[in-house]
Amino acid sequence: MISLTHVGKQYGRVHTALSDVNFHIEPGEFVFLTGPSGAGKSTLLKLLFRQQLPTSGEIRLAGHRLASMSAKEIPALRRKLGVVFQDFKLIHSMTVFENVAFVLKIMGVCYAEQKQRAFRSLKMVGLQHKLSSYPLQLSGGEQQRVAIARALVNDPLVLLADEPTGNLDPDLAQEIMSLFERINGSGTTVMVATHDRNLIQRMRKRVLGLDHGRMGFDLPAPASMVVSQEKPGNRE
Amino acid sequence: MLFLRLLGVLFRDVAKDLLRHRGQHLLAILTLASGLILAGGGLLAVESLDRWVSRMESQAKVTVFATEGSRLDETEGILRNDPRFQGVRRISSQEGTRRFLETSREAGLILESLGNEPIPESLELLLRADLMAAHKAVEVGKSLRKLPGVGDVIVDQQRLEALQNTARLVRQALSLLGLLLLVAAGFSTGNVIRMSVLSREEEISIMRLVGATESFIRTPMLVEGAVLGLTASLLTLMALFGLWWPLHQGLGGISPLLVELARLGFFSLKSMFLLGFVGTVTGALGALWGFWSTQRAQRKAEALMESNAI
Repeated sequence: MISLTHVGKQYGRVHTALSDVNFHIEPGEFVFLTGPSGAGKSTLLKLLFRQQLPTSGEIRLAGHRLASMSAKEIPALRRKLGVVFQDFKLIHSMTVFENVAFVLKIMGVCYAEQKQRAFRSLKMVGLQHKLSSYPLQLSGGEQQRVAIARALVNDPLVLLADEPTGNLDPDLAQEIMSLFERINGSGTTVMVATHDRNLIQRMRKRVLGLDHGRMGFDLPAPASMVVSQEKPGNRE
Repeated sequence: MLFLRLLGVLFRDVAKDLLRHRGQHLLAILTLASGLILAGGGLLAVESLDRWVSRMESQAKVTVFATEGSRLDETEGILRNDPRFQGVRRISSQEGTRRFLETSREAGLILESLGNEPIPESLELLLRADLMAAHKAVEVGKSLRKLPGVGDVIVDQQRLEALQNTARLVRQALSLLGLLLLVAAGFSTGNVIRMSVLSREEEISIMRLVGATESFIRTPMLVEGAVLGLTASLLTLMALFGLWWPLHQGLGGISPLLVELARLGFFSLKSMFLLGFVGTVTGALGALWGFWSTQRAQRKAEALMESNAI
């Protein structure tokens, strides 16, 4: 589903954000991407949803070659993804419902279905009662959950989340991770960038470690988890 | 059916966005309307002037006056058979005097000093259409002076030529001024709409991040710009009507010339459509300009991020 081969990303002439990163993620896998601040986690996610281009190497995601794809193909790629941004990226002039339903609208989904799916998605994150609120009327944690609901509403092939639990209390963080697991169970490939070690230990998933832009480690999920991921129903 | 559904969705979204950013949009409408009022005012003045000159042209005639104490019976007989004229009308001395008295307040005093029946009888001649041009009319006038009993010949076309030249100059000056104002209004409105779009730059960049295509973002903005422009045009028409109406009614001791010009009518339907079209196009172009600006700004920001970001 996701494959990186000798990927490098350089900002300007001096700063190297990523260097010779290689990994492969199978469809339906759940992967944590970890590393200290400045390790390159956010840069890697930006490369994956084609906000930025790699300086070297090749990235393949859901059948797309990201480095060589044209600007016109980018929207099609992004519609296959669900992205939870670190700074949420909610549209402040739209209500919670409109923010979530917007993703469906650009896909041409009819209004009745938009309503139904946006409600379902908001219910998953426990915000079904905030449909008509505006993002700025919500707390940081609630905004984060709206961002998660938006990322899930289009049943993405791949879910990319950049510090999705950063603003949540431990209980809620666990709840969101359980939600991600459920989404992953239905076949969605999930990649979560976080530096929350406790969360990673609790979840027992494959962990990719970045350190100063290089792959530090690639720890496979414990065997029991791998077996559960190989169950039929995972999506290509 | 699908096209109509999509059109419905588009207009619903546009209406929502117009309402959502109503403050910015009101500013854009007022800016465009202020520019259009000046340009539209110029257009209205040009149109009124054109109507006035046309009216004068349609009323233009050649007037043949009898010499003092003589009559124009014989001349009338000759001219009625002259193919150069479409019509001949005899004006008695009394009617000529009455008309003269109507021209100004001082006319009575002038007439008193001239004694009884100072205005001789005359013949008003309506020229054939192909002879209406000033130089041809003057030639006709010259030939009329040789007829028996004719004292003076006044050719309106000769005097009209000067008026036409003046009107042409005024029209050209106003048209140029109107065009300049329109361009200035277009730029300032385009800029206000562009600012309005730029203020939504973050919103637009988020739309792009979640997979919206450029046309999906651009189309509603284009329609919004056009709606703003059209609204500004309608506002302009209402404002100009508000200015024209008191002139038309001659309220508040306004100059008689202005009143006469105003009484020739408000905008023609063609000019109203022109004003609406110009406003709509200006609004749409402003929105397009704003959209391209956000694209450029985003590209610059990305390039900056590529070179500096950590």
